[in-house]
Amino acid sequence: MTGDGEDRIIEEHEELLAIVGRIRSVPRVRPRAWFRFKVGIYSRMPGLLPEPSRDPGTVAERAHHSGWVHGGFRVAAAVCLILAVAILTFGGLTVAARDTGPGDALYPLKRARESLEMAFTWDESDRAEKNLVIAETRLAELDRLIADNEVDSAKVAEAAGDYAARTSAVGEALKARDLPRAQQVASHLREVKTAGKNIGRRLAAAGVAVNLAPAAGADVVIGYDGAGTPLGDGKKLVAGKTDTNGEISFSCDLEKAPDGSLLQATIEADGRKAVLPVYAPTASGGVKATVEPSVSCLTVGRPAQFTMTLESDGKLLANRSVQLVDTTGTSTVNGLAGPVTLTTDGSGALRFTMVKTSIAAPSRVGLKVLNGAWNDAGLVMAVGGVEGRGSATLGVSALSRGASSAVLDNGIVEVSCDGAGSGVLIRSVMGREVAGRTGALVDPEVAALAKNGDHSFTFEGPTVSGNGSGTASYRIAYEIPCEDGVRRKVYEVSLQRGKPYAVITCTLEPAGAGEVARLSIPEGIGIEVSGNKVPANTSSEPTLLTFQVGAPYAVVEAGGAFGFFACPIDSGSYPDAWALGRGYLGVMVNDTSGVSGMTLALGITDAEGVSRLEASAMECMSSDRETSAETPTEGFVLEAAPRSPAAGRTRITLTIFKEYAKILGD
Amino acid sequence: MPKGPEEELLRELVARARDGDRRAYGRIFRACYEDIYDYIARRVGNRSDAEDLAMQVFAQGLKAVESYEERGHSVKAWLYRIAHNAVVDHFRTARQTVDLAEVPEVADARDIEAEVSFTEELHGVYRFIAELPPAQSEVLILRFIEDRSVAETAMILDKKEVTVRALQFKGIRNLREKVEAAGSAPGVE
Repeated sequence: MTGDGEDRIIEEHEELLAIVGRIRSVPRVRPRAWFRFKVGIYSRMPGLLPEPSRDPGTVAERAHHSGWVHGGFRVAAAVCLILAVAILTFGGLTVAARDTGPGDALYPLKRARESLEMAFTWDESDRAEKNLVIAETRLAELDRLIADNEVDSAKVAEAAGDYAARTSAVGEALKARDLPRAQQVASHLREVKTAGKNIGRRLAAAGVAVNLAPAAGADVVIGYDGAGTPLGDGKKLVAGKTDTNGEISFSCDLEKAPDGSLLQATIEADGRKAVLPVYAPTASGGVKATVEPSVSCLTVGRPAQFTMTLESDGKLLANRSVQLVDTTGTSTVNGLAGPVTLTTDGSGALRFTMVKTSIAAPSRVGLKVLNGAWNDAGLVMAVGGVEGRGSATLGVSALSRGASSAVLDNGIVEVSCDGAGSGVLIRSVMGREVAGRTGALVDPEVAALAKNGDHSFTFEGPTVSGNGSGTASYRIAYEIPCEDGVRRKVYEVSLQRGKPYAVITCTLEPAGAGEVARLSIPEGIGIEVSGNKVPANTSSEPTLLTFQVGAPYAVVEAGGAFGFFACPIDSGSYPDAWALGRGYLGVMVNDTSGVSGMTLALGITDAEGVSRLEASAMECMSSDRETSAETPTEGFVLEAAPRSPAAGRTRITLTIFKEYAKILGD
Repeated sequence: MPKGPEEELLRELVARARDGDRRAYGRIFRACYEDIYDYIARRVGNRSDAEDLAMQVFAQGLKAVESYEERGHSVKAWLYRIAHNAVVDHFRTARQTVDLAEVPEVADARDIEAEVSFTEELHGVYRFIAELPPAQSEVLILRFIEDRSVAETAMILDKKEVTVRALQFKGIRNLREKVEAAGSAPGVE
């Protein structure tokens, strides 16, 4: 070896050592203060540690089940000590954290305090009550997120998840044990759930939980109530049908809306009739009324509770006598059709129950304030009504849980997608993992790309379509870099009413002759699936591969060709990531044409086999889940944009949704 | 085998924990959690998951300690191995894959202070480690950031020592290339 060569080696060695030195100088990632605190607690009470398997319950819940029993009095003594330390140290902070919400810096402290309190509550009824109080706290936080227009999915999920966990824990406790004070707990639970439902409706209107289907083809008539005020172009009414998105647009001069008037929409769809307020000029009485929940539609005959906060000149109208009356006589307030006298509390709030009795008109609730005499403060609330049970059942529902996360549910199968960026198409077919039967369905190509972070994706949905099909779906579109630029791979995952499987459709763009890609069949290439020949794709049209989770067969549409392909299920050929187990398809098949890198997910079978497998899938599911594809209908949700008058004529678009009761979490 | 007063103490604590002394296990927990947390945070790239997983690791450790067997590795290496498996599991279940490069865009806007400090920690040469193929970066993290020996790294990752050495060599080389390519660009140091 030459001297130069040796020098180079020594030089390289030194450079490498320098790199190692730099790696060693990388600073440590410091745990957050809260986590250090948590470790302090848990390390002194290892019995409180969560069970090693991932468990959706809260730490406090797990602690209750796993830890205390073993630790006995020694642990209890340690707990008291820790509690004392914790309260001394964090007392002030947690007081400061009391009014925080998801996303706030001190919010984890608030939650920690709750967990601590739960950990020190032994009595089952006390635990149930505490859970309900905490669930109410979560609702208040959600309420505030809505009021502050901060309906961020992650924040909502944080609060809503805990709410659901706690109410269901209480429900379970009621079912499983003879709770002392069970009646009291059950009635509290009902109250909390009613409040939760109201919040859910408002979140739904804010676009978070999707159990709304666009009311396509609904008959809509828009106009001012009573007086026949023209809409601004001489016409007194606009009538039409909503489009497939449930939208209908019209022009109107809102500035010319006479005081005391109300722009309203009469809607008929799906066997239901509704009248909804669209726009009312602001009350002129100098009193500002904020009504919670701000729903626009009540089901006739079903009571709803409201809280109204009154302000005048920026000051709360505390401890004042006021009168509420529905001037249209189409609803009752606290059971009375005439004026009801109420007194605001110290924070200017009053609570009342309203029942819509007729949909002849939207209820127009007027306010009078006692100020020496009854002074009219004008219209403070307009609420529409809906009646009729609805002819269709949707039987599917969808919930958005963040920017790329959703849950679909048809009462039989529940599929969820967490973090579409990782290539996960379905996380589980039942919302939870069951060893050997469910699992994550992943696109391995995307998962590989996700590891390096050099891919991008868009997540759309979830959406619900109620027109005949009863389908809930979401779409994930991946941009995949390839030699010729970018390839798009679009997945649509959907659930249909009554079907015991999810349908996953994958399309590739662009599809061209000779394209070799996963989940595509290039022109002129035939494949063989366990000895059964699949005819060659004779077209350069996009190849569509549909495989169905829950029934082990796939439908391949290639250039218009269509067919089922037989393939016995061989568990040995299940790729790990797709191992959905017995009856839940996932077979990886390699092509036989010698083209490398092509993989197809395919299944089976003839029509008879399909029904047999569907039946077995149903049977498989029903042991875990009651099948209930009927979804009771709720009402209409109406969104109008813009909501306030602009100068001159305003083009208003109404979007009307049919609302269905959620299957999820019921 | 690693020696030193810390390791001796940990061994004594493990022996007691194996006999059912939970307080001893708690002390192991306190002594090791910062290292384990650092390792997990680097692998998963976000604090919340790292915190969850660190708790899982200690929970698993508590169960596993009863059958702890002295095999010539340090107590910490044993915990790193559990942590490594937990991380692998975490990615396998693919709850959410967060790339380290995405960490600055953590949605929790109110928690900016805490997150900023993390992203600062990720600057400099570490950024390039995170960009390496996972097998190489996990070896470099264990070897030089977590300061584990080759034998321990091999045990933790369930790889042969010779594989660890090869991955380490390739990793350092690739890292050097990345550092050189970035030149004196701001943020590299």
